[in-house]
Amino acid sequence: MCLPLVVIMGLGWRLARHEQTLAHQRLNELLLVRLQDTATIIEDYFQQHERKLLTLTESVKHDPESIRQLIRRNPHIAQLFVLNTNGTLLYPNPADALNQAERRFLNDFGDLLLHNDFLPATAEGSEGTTPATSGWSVKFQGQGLNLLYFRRLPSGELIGILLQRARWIADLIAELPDTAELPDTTDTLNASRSGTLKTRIRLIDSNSRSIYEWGPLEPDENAPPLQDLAPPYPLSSWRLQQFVDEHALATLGRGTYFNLISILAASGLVILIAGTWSYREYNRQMREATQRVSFVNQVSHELKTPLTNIRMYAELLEDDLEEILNDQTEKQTEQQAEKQAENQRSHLKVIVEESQRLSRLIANVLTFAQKQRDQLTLHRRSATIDDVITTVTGRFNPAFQRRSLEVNFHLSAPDQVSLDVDALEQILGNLLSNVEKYASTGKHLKITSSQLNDVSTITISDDGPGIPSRHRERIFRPFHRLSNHIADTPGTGIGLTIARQLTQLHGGDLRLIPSRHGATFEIRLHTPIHAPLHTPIPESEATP
Amino acid sequence: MFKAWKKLAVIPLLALTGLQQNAQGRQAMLDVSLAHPTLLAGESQTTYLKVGLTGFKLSKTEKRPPVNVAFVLDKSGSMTGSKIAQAKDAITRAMDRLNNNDIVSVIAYDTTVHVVVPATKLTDKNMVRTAIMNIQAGSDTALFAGVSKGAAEVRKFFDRNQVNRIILLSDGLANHGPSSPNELGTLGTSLMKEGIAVTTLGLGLDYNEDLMVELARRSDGNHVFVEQATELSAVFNHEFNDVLSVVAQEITIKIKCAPGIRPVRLLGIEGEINGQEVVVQLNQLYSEQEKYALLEIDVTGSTIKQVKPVAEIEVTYANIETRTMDRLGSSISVYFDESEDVVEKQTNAKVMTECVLQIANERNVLAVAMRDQGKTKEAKKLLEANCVFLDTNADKLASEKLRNRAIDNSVQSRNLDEKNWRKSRKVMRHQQQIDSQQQLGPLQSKPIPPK
Repeated sequence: MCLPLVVIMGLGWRLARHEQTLAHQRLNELLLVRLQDTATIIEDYFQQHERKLLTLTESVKHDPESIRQLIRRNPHIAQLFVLNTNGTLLYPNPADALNQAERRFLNDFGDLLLHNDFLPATAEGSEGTTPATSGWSVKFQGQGLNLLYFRRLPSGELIGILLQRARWIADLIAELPDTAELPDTTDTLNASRSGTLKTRIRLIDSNSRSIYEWGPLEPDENAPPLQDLAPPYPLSSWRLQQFVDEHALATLGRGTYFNLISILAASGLVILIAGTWSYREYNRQMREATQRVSFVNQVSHELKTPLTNIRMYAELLEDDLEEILNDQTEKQTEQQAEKQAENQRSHLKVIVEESQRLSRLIANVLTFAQKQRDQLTLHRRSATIDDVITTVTGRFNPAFQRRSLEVNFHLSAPDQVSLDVDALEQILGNLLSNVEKYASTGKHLKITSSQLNDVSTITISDDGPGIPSRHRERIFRPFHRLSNHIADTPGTGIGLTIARQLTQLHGGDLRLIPSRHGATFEIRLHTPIHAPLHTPIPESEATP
Repeated sequence: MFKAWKKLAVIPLLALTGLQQNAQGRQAMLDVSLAHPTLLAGESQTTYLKVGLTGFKLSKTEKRPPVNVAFVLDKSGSMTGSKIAQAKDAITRAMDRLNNNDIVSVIAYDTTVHVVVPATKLTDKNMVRTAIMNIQAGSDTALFAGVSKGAAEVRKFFDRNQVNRIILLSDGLANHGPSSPNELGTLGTSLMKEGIAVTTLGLGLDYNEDLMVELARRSDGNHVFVEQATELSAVFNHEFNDVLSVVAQEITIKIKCAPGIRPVRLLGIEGEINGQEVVVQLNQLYSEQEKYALLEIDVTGSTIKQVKPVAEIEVTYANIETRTMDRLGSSISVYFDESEDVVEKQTNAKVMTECVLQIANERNVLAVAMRDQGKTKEAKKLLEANCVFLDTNADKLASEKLRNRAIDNSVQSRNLDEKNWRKSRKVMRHQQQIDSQQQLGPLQSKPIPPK
């Protein structure tokens, strides 16, 4: 069992040498995924925006009044313009009386419109050769990057929208995560202990100016980003950068090193546990196999004993009968005749007793087999617990008398209840048979019964040697016997198992309850008060 | 002042106010008047058209509209200590005036932004209070990002029938992310289109007043210069007086000038001049507050005794009480007379006072620009001239307000030196914003002793 552990440890140590680089690589990948997710947020925002603008351009009325009204109302639009098929401005028309914003727009973007070069090469068209019908265009002006959305209408006119720069930046910021406050950001020891790697993601514009950033890490002024990627078009001239705590990165290897040791320790432990378990399992199976063999032996033995007894006493009776026939001619004294009859009766008793034992034994074996195949079922009928107790105890009377065991009854379960009489007989039989076999050193046997609502309880207490407490539960396992020697005491080792299974099937349980001396078994059964089956209340008669 | 009103009463009212009544609710009051209701016959002249709108009184017994407010708090390093403590205290106190129909969010920013309390109905004040108290000062100032997140929180529960507002408190220069007055200003414009106003509170002497003023001005919020953190509580209280007294929102004023009338420019308030049409948009009107647009117009000469139409005015706004879109209309004409006396006598003193105030304000803005370029002497001269201009008109128009502004300009002209400039500039920018936006700022109500 130690060998695989050693092998794993050896492999582990080899692995440890590569672990740091591996950890870095993995972390890099993980962080990159996060950065790419961020880029996706940006992409989604612009796609969503594009869809809205597409709908908007469909409904734009082309008179200056409506356009101005639209610009006044729409928080995203800085300016809107319309070009006709020839590329001349329809709005804002320089020949008209323009407002300040329109004039400023023409001043800033007039050249662009004149040369028609705002239609980007990168804009997506259906074919590479045909001009794009709608999309984004980027123009550097004033504070930096400006976004124009353009759409060519089926009529050939072109609508362009200059987005309010501050607004789409603000919207992007609103879409991106914020920075939750750490409990104590100044305590680096605490932060590293908490196990979270501090990072910072920064969105920077074309002039390397930070637009927005988030994450608890405060990177050094000149620290290079761990990762750097361009957001998708139209923001592709901006950058997304991710910074990671250098210190945490350096200790990362050590961290995984410790992890490795704990992994090794854990796998060692797992192997140990697995080993121990298999060992015990093996032992258990061996034991079970032995027990099964001994069970077969026991059963054979158990079957043999009553059969031998029956045969023996039957032969004795035969002898007696021959004697009677032989002596018929001779005149017997009355005393002699009486003694002979007494003898014969006792022989018969033994035969009856032994055959009962035999049938009990066979019943047990059958029940056990049924249970194994999950075919054990109850056959309830109306009966009285106390009657069953009296009947079963009656069968043991000769044996108990032989062993001068005195039976005391305290019976108070006289109600008619729904009950599987055969099952209860088997349970009681097994328990009393145990008393007969194992507790014959005692002098008293006490049987009590009681009933409360749907539960009936029977206890059987002897004053024999008792059962050690460590065996309290084990005795109910199949084939478990305190001793496996055939010679010790006869028994199959399934009596209590079956008795318990039957009580459980009966909605109750069989327990060995602690007692000062001897053994006390308690049988609890679910026994609903029996409603007379054959005299049901005819409902149809109740309502004529 | 009283005299001026008497004079006004004598003037034949030429404004034909055609108030369109909404079903039962009260309406804002529209006042359309000219600085010179009578002009000299013959010549082309310049005068001013005023379109004023006064909010009806919000009775205290009535249910006020719910408020959706985002507190955006600067937690940069400079806020460390008593400043942030006072700010947190002021915010939690201000929150006490709100109830569980109101929506609150709290955003704190330094280099990064932390949404401390995402927009929530104020049902658990203690939770919000605890979260605010846990805010700790950090490093840099990502003001733009802070406002962006604040706006996103307000948008979560956006409703046109509530007062949607961001209250930004900062004591430092925005040094992370977009940081120019123009960028913040255009963000303000965008938010105003949505019906979100940003009130900016500048704390101490280190914040960028241009940026803060621009953001407030373009979104039609308030701007306040708060010199000491101890004043914060009062400032928040004042801000909430405003927030809780909004009676109208999404106000659009349209002025259609008649032929022969050329709209030149708007004084103070921003707007669009599209040929003959002028459009001014305001975010909100407070209870009993008058907001006005002053339009400079060129009137072509006309013959004596002629009545010449000047403009048709249309005002639309969302009435917060009736939750209806109300529409007010009016038109105005001008008389011509050959007597200069008559023209002078019929001058509308109230409108003239406002014109003088706005013109002086423009000059005040110019003076700041000059001082920024290092032309301290020129700036001083301009402010002194402004003082005289205001003083003369204060006499002529019997205006206490103009007199106060004259004193202000005089004081400002003496505070252009390096030592005082940082503070003086903030005072000036604050006052400019108060005058141009006709803000009900605390400085306005501050009594200044007469000469």
